[in-house]
Amino acid sequence: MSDKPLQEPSFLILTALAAGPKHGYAMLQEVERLSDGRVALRPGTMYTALDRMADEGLVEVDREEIVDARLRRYYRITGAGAIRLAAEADRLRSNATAAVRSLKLGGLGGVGS
Amino acid sequence: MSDQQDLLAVDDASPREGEVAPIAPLERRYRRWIGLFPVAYRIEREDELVGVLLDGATPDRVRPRLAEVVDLARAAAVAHVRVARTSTSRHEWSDASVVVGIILAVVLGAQSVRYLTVVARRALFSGPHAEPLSWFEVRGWYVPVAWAIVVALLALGWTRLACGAAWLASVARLAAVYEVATVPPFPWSTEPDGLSAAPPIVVQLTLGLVAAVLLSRPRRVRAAVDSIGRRRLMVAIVAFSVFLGAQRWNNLGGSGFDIWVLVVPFALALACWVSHVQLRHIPLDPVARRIGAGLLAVLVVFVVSVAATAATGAGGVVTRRDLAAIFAVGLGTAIVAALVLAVAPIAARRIPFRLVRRPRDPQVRRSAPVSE
Repeated sequence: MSDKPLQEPSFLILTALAAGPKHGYAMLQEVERLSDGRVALRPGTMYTALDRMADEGLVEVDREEIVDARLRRYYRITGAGAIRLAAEADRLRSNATAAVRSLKLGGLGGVGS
Repeated sequence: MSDQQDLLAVDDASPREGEVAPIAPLERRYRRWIGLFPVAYRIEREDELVGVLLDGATPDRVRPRLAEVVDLARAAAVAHVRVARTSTSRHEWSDASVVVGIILAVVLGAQSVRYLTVVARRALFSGPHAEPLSWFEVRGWYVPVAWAIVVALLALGWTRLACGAAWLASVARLAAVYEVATVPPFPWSTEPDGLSAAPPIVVQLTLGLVAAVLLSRPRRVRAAVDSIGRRRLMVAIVAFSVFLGAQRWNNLGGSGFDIWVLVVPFALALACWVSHVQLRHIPLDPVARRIGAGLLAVLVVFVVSVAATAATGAGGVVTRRDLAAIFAVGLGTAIVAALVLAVAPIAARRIPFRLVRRPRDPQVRRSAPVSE
């Protein structure tokens, strides 16, 4: 099993899908929202990440719809994807906690904003 | 705004057979760029990707943004790598490599015709002012003859003998290289006519070795030829030979820069690109695509070996013009071959394209074409 840290786009996509199945454009918007506008994925990048995660069995196709003559394929997170995302969230959280603790120890104050 | 909506609304009523729904310019342009993706990928994803791109576009937009194009190109490159890595297409590669070997053998063998005509012409028209027969055109004559024998054996279906003959031809070529290296050139060949000196022999040695290696699986030859069809093989050979012949002509012409050598391939490249765009829903046969890739690889070998001989200064001067011509001709050849391989089945076999076999569907792979 790959224990490599998820890249940020993958992490955010999984996060977006964790709340429920989404189609491509909704994922882009959700990723932007989740990252407070910091990460604006482009479709190509998103599908590259999505393909990789599909290969690893982290996401799968949920259903297809035709809306306004456009094909919308919905994706959902798999069980393995949820486990991976949870593990990744734990890792990031412990890193963040360690960083905050370290800053406090050094007397460099709290982390604002 | 309403413009685009209307156009798309027409799309809504799923187009019947033979009826083509109008496509908004933006969508058309997006699809053109998505043409960069591998065919199998496009079958799977094109409509979806177009949908996402259109969802993200403001209604007044008629052209993709540069950033989007860059993003698509990058994703397409990644997808190509992914497909190449995951595809279970060893047979297709193997077939394609054998076919490339056959094409090379034919091209190398075809040179014997040139030797014969040169020798015959000089023999027939030898007068007091006749050009002397160049050593290069006489010595080493046995090499193309050996390749002609290889081709004849292939045509007869004696593939094992053909394979052996291909290796013999390579040995013969080594002898020719030795001959050229030890026999001094004519005093009047001081003109930098580059490619008509030693480099072509070394280049051809490389090409010959490549062909011999590719033909070293005699049992696969028949299956490989069957897999693309004899007609398509013929067309590919003709396309390849014509362009190599064009390059030859350019060098024999001697003086001046023959612009058409550059123009023709690039015009064809343009034609190819246009037809690629038009034909992008028609997936190329996997073997054909791989033959294209194989020819391209051969051309890389070709160009590199010419450059290498030029760099070492071994026998003769290769001018920049020569290199440019080789590059242009090579590129043109690859493109023409690819184009021909793409289009020929429509004309020659009159069977509809088989849909590209999806990588994840092993049963469909290499299934025999359904008889009607």
